Amino acid sequence: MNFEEDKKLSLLLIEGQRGDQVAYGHFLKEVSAVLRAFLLSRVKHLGDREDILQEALVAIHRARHTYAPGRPVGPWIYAICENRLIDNVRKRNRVERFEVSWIKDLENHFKAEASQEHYQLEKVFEIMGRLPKQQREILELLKVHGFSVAEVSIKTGMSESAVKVSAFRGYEIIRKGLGVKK
Amino acid sequence: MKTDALIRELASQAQPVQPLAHPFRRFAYWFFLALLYVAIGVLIIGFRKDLSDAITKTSFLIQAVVLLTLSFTTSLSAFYLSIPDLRNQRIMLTAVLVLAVWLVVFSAPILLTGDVTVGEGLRCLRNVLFLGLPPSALLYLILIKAFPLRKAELIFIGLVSTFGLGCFGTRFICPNDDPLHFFAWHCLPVLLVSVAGFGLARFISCKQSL
Repeated sequence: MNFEEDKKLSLLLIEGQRGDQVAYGHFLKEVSAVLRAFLLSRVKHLGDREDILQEALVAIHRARHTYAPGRPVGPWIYAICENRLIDNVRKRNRVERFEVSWIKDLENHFKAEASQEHYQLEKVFEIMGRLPKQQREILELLKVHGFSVAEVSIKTGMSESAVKVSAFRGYEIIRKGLGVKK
Repeated sequence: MKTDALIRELASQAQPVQPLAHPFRRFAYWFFLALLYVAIGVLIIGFRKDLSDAITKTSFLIQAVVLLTLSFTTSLSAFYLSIPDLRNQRIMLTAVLVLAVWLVVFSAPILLTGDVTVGEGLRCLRNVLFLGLPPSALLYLILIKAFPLRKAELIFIGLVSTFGLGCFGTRFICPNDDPLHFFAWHCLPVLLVSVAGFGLARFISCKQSL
């Protein structure tokens, strides 16, 4: 971002701080373009990139009172975006660790009892059938259709953490039903 | 939700906001109030009887200056750290340096003198907490109004700063100058509270992201 662009963004943000919604909308649009370029080389997957961009925009919105007029706006924007990026990577690693361990549990279980595979799969679906409708739908979207947590959150209108909690409880019920230990 | 829709929604929520004052100004305001509280607290609890003698000792003065500098630098860096683009490395580095000096100044005499008397210290612990807690609460309320990106680090240095101030105040109350007593009952609680705060903040942030 050059000096002119920075100054332009700064003026738009100052107007936004004063409550000018049009200027603020322009500011966010310009910022999203800048951050998309910033994230392009850092995040390969388009869906993830848009997720991080949206999180960064929400964070910028919440932090807009911390921008002091007169200071360059670039470092302020990049600091927030970088933080969201790091946070997202950490979050993803944790979730992956958790989900991978669950999948490994199931895989091990199925390998050990290959002869009962069909029976086990049937049992998984039978247990899933007994789950509340919304929880079953979440598990199907995540594990059968392969949607991400963010996408499921949008589809179901639930928050991402609520989706994760609901899925986690569903996994626990399936685990118990199959007699799989943690 | 598509990003364009999100932008429209955020723009429609744009109410006028008051930009935060400069971190140094907010720091000065907090530091003044915190010092005032500690001074009043010390007055209420009562000065040590040998204070007039103690303040003539170099060791006492060094310890007091180090504690005050520790609180000053760590709280100043906390205020800078609470603004996304103001993570001033020089201030952070100074705070870390002062923290190291603090640990050396208070642990070295134990090694040099071989002191093994811890002495009664529950009252000192209570005083450190009594003098440190309200400034901590005030600091938290002020800092949370900003937008700290590194909450756990901020909580750590914030707690070092406020309980360091409590430790500074306790120096004027407790007549026991034994190095081990001072380290165990005045300094260690500051470190333990700060590390516990840091750990708790990390734990909560991990839980929230699962």
